[in-house]
Amino acid sequence: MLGFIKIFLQGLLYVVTLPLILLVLAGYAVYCVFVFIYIAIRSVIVFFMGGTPLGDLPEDVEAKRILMQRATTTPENSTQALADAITQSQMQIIQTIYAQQNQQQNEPVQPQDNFVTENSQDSEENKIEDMDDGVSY
Amino acid sequence: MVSLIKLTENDKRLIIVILLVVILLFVIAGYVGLLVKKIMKSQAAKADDMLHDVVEAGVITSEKKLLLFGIRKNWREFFRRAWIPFLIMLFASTLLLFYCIFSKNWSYNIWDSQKEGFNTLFFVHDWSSFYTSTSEGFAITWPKLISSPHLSGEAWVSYIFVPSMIVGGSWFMFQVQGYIARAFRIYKLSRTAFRKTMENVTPPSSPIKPE
Repeated sequence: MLGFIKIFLQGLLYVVTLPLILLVLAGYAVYCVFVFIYIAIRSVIVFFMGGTPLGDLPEDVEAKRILMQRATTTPENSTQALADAITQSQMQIIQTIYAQQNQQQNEPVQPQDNFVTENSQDSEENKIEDMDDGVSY
Repeated sequence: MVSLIKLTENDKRLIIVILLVVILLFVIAGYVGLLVKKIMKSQAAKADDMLHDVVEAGVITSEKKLLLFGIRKNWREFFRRAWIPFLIMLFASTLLLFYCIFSKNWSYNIWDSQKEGFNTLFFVHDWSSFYTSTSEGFAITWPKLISSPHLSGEAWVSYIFVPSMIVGGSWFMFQVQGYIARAFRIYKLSRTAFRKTMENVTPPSSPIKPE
């Protein structure tokens, strides 16, 4: 009930002050027409002078520059960047080690080396046999 | 004095009905006002967006500069939002002007109901005959019909002009309302943005004693 009375009284107030509200609105409408024409003429002049008609104001540009600079140099961001860099380098090291291990494990058998080894083993045996024979080469 | 006014049962009923209708109208006006307030609040939110960065970055440090900067930004914002309705109205006005020039008819009536106006599309009644005074008092009669809806070839300019002006004008006035809402918000922000507040200040637990 209280809300209803409040709405009713507000309605009464709006109806009573409606002429004043309309007068203010009409005044602002006339003012806005002049503003519109001023901005339109100014934009055309700026456009033909090679500028951006409704671009950012100098204050906006300065504010954007400062905020960008602040965003790149804040302590939280630098700490985060450092942490990211460390993680990345650690990951690279781990990947390198893993790759090396894989390479060692999957390295193909080189027959020539074995041959050399076998030959060397054979030669050792021959040596022993020859030694038994009493002949050394 | 009281004895002079004698109300019948029908009169009392009529008064109650009229009173209820008036109350209903005021309540509707109240809700319309609330709706307008809500819309204006949402339109004013753009002002915060416009002023935030320059205050946050410390580019503007005084109330007066913030107010002037806000006004300039508001002008631009208004232009950005109002150029379409402005062009619609400009187009409609130019069309009517050229029609008047080429037809050499400077007495063209856009509200005419017979052949060249927008009212050819509606029922038009003669409201001057709505009530007539008689020897016994007033008599209310349904007004006479002057014109029924019909399409007229000569009225094509008013068919374009009137709707364009209604749409463009309403749209433009809506943007004027937005301009007013932002202007009030900018003024309020310029007064409070650099003001120190005690809202979230808590004194230290062990205050430093003066030496």
